[in-house]
Amino acid sequence: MDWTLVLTQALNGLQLGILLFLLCAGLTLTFGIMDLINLSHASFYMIGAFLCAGATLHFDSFLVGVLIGLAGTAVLAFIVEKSIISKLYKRDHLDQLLATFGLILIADTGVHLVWGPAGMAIPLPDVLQGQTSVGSLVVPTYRLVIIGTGFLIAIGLYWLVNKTRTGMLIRAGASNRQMLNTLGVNVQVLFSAVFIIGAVLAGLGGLLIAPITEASIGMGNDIIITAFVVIIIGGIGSIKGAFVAAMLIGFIDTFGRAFLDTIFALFMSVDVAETAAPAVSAILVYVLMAIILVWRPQGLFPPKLR
Amino acid sequence: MDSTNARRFGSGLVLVLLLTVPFLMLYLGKAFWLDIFTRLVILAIAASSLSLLLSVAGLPSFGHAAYLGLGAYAVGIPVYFATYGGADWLASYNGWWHLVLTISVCGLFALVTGAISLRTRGVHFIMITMAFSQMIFYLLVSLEEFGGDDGLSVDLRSEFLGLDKRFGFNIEEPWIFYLLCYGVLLVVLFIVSRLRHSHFGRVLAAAKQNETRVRALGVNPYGYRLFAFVIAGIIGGVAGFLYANFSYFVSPGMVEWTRSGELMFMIILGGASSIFGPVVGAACFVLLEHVLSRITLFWHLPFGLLLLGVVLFGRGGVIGLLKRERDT
Amino acid sequence: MSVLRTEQLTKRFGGVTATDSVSLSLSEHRVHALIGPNGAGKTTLIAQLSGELAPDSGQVFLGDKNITKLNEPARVRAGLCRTFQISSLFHQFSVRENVAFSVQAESGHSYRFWSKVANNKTLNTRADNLLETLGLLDKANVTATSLSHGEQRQLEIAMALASKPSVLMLDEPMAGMGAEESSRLIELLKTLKSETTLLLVEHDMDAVFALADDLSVLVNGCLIASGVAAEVRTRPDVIDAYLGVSA
Repeated sequence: MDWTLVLTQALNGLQLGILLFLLCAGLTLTFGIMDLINLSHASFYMIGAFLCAGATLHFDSFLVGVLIGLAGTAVLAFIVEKSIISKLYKRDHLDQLLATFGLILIADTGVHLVWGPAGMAIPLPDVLQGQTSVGSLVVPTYRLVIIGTGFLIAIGLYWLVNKTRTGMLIRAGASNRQMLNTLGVNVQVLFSAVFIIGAVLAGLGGLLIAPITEASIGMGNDIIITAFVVIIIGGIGSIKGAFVAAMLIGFIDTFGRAFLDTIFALFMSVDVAETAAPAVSAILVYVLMAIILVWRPQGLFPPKLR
Repeated sequence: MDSTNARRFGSGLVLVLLLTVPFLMLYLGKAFWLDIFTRLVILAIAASSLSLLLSVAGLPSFGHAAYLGLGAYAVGIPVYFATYGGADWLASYNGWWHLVLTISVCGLFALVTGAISLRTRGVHFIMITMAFSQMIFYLLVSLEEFGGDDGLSVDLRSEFLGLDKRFGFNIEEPWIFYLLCYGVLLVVLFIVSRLRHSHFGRVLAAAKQNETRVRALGVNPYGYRLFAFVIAGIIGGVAGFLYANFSYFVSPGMVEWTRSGELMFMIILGGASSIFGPVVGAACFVLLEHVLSRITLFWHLPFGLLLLGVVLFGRGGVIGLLKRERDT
Repeated sequence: MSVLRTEQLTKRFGGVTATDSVSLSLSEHRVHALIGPNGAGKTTLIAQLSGELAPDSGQVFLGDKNITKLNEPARVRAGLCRTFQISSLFHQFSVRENVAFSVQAESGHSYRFWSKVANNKTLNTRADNLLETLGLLDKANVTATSLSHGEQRQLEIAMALASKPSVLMLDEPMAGMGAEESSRLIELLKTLKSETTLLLVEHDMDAVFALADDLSVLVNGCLIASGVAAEVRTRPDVIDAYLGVSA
């Protein structure tokens, strides 16, 4: 085994896990607290990336791009929550799903109208472009930035949810929605806040990955389903579950794609291994989901009910 | 009685229009309308199969496009091997063989994924059906030999040995192929209508309204739902089988979850008040798409707004529409 | 002999013991009333008997068959049926369809895909007979939602009877009924004794004393008394714990 390769792939897995977590944190909170299933989360992921790309190119500064990307996503999230999402809280899940699917169609076309059909690359400042050596391992600096940011956010969320009054309300809401009313909380404000935080985190995920993949229309539409798999595995409504499952999926997916052919070649012919490995690694996380569901239908960390 | 008659008239009108308009257009020299109508009829078959789950059984499966993809590749892959050699056991142009493959692959996939998904409820069910269809998407993308992302051309339509030679039934002929699709739609509508009004259908309808009570009457709905899931999957697969033959092309794009969303959109558009709802919905969808995409590049925008509007302002939302199916 | 029997049935929710080692026995063709203050664990007990909830420990026997491990539908097919405290109907079905479906559920599997169930004479005739017994026949064609509260309670019972239960558990059948409707229902339940065994959970003491052959009293999850009604109701501890307060 080439250990440098393993370590590099481990970093890739970590990066995918972090991205998934940024997406899932908002999804799982909005579902846990507001009972809302929100496909348009994928759009905030995309919009964050495009806003950042546009601003970076215009102001010639990645930092300004990031700030505008986050602020713009927050404003959009506020408007969308007030005008549309707030009308969906009491609706059936199917209504929510279809309405937010409508929002995705609108957002995809909206981005097309503003920035055109092609993808947008985000140029990184020189500081972030180089490589950093960690021991014998040489890794792109920017990957470390993504991973570092992700961990900071995870710690921040942990602090917010477990150590603050808002966090207490969020936890209370996730396990027992009725309680919020009896505590005399302004539910509207809490819901808006949680929705906006979730959307901004999704936007952050999008704009962090965009310098590597570039911002493109529909970029969130695939990863949102993987995010669903994460929160199903983690247990819907649980931040801890989302983190654990995101890391799990990140590593399994990355390692599956990187090493499955080598592993398969140990007990089958190289030819067969090379055909089978990509197919198996493509469905690996879904098979994992199926197994976990058979074993625990509510996911690994279901929020305590009642 | 009036509403029953109106509905009968409406249903008859839909069937007559589907049979006459494309040929009228063909006569007027606008042959591309036959293509549009073929696509419409195939999507109507797919939407009808989904309505068995959504409207009759109340199971919001959000991964129905997977069956279209599986059915399509059940044509594409054997034809590919028959054209370029390899996998002799699979390779064939024989349409009956394609159909057997479609039914067994889709039936098996529905059985396995349904058995797992139906253990869960509500939002879990929605997300899991979605995830399983995405699994098929990535699986098809990973199949480099069959074009991966880019898909696979199907060089010839399925051959229905016996029929072709004996009756001059050549489905390469567009209007014959259209009639074939139309016939399949009629059969599917008949099957769905029968199922809906059978003992089986009543169990599904009862479990949709009040599962607790169904269990308290000694019936476990799980098996019935699984059966419905498998039937819907197989019919969805048949739609995919037709689609591959129609477009001479299969690709993972058929399985993207947004396609499943569009199928649901069709059912919502057409309403669930009768078995013709999905047909009307598919017609609205395809015709709107055609008209809008000729007017503007940004035709998804009015589509999204329409979807949002129907959900937010259609009385009682989607479920309200679905619930108004009682008096059928 | 006992048709339904529990041994040491215990269920806890967190720190609360909802039913505490309840051992109950129902004799054939009798009305056995279960009374107790609110929160005594009556509904939890019914849920464990019906199979909706699994007990933490203890056994349930129907006749001499141990049904502890059976799920709810299987218990119903074995002959143990229930009604709900809050009417649990099929709101989009007509009254006849509600009962006809219940008859259908009783008459074997429903993997029948072709014939129209609405035209099935056997189901409809049996449904109409049951509706006649409950006095609902003239409402057969309206939807279940358009029935009055009392009529919905009667439909609830018609549906349970369609299952031909050997033991029928009635969870507060009189709840929300007027005096006249109640007394009619009491007369009906009396006639059912010859066909089935009844477990009656009820707050209406007039109904309980009019109907009950046997009486069990549940307080804080414990069965404090169980026996022939006339004896149990005169016991001082029962009067202290429950009847005294209520009366």
